Amino acid sequence: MMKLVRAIWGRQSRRARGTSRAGGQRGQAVSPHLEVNLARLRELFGASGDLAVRYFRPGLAPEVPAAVVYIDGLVDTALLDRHVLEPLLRSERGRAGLLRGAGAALASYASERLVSAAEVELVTALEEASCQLLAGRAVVFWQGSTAALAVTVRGWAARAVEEPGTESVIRGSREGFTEDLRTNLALLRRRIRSPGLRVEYLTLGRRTNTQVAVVYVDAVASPSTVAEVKRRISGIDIDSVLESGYIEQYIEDSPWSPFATVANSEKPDVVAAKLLEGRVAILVDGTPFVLLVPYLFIESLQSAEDYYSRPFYVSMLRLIRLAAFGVSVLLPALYVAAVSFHQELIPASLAITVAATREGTPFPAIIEALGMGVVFEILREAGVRLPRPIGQAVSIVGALVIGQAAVSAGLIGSLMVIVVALTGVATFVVPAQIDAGIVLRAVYTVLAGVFGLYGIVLGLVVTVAHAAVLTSFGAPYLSPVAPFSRTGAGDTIVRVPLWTMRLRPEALRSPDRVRRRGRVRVGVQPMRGRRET
Amino acid sequence: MTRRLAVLALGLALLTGGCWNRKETDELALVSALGIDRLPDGGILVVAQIVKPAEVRAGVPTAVGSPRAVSLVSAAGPTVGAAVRGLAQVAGRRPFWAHARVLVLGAEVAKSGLGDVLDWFFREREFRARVWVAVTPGRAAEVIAAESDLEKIPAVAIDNMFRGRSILSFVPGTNLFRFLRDLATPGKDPLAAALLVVPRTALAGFSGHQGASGSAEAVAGPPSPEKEKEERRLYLGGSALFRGESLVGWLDERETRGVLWTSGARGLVVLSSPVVPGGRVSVEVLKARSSIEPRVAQGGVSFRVEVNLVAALAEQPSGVDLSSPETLALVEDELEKTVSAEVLSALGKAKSLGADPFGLGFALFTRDPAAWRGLAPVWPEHLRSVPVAVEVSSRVIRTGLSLGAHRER
Repeated sequence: MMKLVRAIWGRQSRRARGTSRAGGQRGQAVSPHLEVNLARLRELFGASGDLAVRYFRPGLAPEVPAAVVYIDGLVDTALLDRHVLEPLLRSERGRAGLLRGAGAALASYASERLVSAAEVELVTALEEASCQLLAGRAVVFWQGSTAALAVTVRGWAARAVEEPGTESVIRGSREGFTEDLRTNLALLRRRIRSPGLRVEYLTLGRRTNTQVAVVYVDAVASPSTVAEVKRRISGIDIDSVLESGYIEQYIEDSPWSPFATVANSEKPDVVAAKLLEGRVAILVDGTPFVLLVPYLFIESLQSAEDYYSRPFYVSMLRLIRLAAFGVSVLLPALYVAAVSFHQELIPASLAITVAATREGTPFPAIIEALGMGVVFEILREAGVRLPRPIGQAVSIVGALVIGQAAVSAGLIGSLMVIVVALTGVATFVVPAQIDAGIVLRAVYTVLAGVFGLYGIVLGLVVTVAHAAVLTSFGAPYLSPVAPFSRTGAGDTIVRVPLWTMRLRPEALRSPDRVRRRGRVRVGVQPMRGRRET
Repeated sequence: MTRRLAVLALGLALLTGGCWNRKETDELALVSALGIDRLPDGGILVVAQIVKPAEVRAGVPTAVGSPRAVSLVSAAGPTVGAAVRGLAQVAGRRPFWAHARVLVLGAEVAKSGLGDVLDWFFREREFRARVWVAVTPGRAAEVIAAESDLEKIPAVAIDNMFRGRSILSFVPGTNLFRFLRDLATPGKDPLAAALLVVPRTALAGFSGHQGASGSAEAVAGPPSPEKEKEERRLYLGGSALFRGESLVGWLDERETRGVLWTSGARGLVVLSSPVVPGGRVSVEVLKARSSIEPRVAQGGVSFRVEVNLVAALAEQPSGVDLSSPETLALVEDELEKTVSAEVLSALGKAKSLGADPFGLGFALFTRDPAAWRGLAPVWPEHLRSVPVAVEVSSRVIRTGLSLGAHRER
């Protein structure tokens, strides 16, 4: 019993700390006068229409006026009826003499004996009560009681667990995170059934009071990384957190780099796998996108499915993804450089073909490349923003009409259309690096148009040097390639069989690097000579 | 501050380098072949075959009367450099040399010495050393103007002929690099492929009988002008023999192969006399190894040329089983005779002209530089009388599985 109370109080004080940091003005205690409390709450909420108050007289002390306050839409009224109102109203009158004049005792009696909801909390400050209201709880006030009872009867419209739109897989879990933090945590708990999975709540955003959870696996994640994540998050002091992207931009190592140093994922199995490698996840209420740190470049070439399928085809796919990334970043630049500077680099018969497609086009190659790049982005953006059926039609018609017509009108060379289309498609092979890829592509194309291949090489040198010094929460961004790690190299451009991946990635500095102990694989006995009959 | 300045200076320095010379592809005239002729007044005439990309790409085969895929542009000047600049003016676009495949030298310019011609090719960095070098007995302009039936770009046809040369090894694969290398090698004279325009109906073959005169008379008489275009075609075979920078004579196809045996020729050899009743046997030479051994003795210098062949049976007219060791030995003997006859005839002609395409002098230079230095000034004269022994050995390693079953009843 005491344990429970202490647990409740412990939670409450922790929550209180959170709110105080988030900037709520404290001090006003719950008044013994019911009407004063209600008036103050109404004043605080500016008489918002969705602040609902329901007066009643509890069955055990009908002479004491009481009220349930909740925000309409955040609570499930059926739950409220069954677990709060009904027990309070139907309670037997008795021991009333004991209770009379002891308001706080009334509240704790109700929480211990009457209200049948699982989550209840005693509240003594009005600000605290308002926080509870906003979190979807109903708060019960009694005349004469300086404690109010917050009861969790949360129930709002939420999306079910669905297959996420990004990171689709052919093989593997179809579940995706939702906007609800608790659902998301449950999805993770279901995958890592270990008490070692640690969840630490923080509240961020002075006005949004968004719940943020830092999740890691104890003894697998490096304690210094966990501490650093918490340090960086607790340093954030902003008005609102509406998506995990807000937090990402506040905690990333190099905000001016084109490369993202914080990963995100919509899939619980991906997040679970990364947690078990020693990473730290940051879940934010209100978004299905979970942040993961540290983030290494090589992760952008990896997909969840890589580990669910046998390794041979996957290793080929890794090469293809790398090539596609190269194409998406470099192809227009190389084309521009070859066509306007280094015609001698093109094989003779191809050079004639190129010359034929360029014959009579009015613009230099660099203008063509940049222009078509912009057109492609316009089509893509239009396709993304419009409702899906219209969006598809718009992009198909736009691409066909603009591509075909521009070529037949002699505005641009047909090879350029191929280059732009191939580049555009290749961009989506490595979705994690789309941002960086498009920015770098534009820079390289301009460099190629001004300086030719020399410009591209210059740009590459600068980019690689920059990526080599990047770190993400202490992990070198290009690891395990640079600095090279022999154990990590098996999960780069090839994916070695799972049973040979004995150690966790070196760059994550896990205190427990060994992933697998004991024998490699249970040997399979040859079936020779066991044919029956 | 200093650091910032240093970074700025470094950044600017990096940006000042690079490719300032942007040239859009549609501003270039892609030259596929270049011909050089000597004008009677000693000047230079250059003829360039310029690709018209749009016509090449047009897809439909060029019927008679349809526009040609190449355009011919010519310009004259006192030197190659001057003439080439003139070319740019006539063509209206900047000539682009990196994709040129063939360089054709007219007989007159080759005879009068290439020293002043080749300098431009050394200097122009766009011009590739991989371009094929051919000499024509007539005017280079005629060769450049000749058409091909199969290829829209005639230079591509010439390129293909060069690439396919090893089926017979009747023509040396001289590109600019090899030509210049042989020219710069002491004791070796360059050989260049001979490229001709012949009447369509003429039998294949370059006799080379014009000898040192190098005139085009061996090519059948000129066809009627109005039919000229349809009736002439390109032929690649034989070679032009240089002494130093100057053309001194022509080798016919077999003589050319005689020289090439010492530099790894391959291809089909028809044996000169029948080994078995019923006709002549052919073998395919797969590999030829050779060495030139100079011998410096009291009496002077002599050479020994060794050729070692590995061959496969390619064709035999009779039903006789040639796979037995005895008959195979006969074939080998005959092959050796045929090849050594080719080498000897080439050697004879080269010696009589005082030219050294085999590189006998170079072999001496590598073996005994002192002896070479003594002989070098008089080498062409000395060559005429120098004794050369030719040794050919051969091995037929494959006879094939066909035993002539179609002849058995």
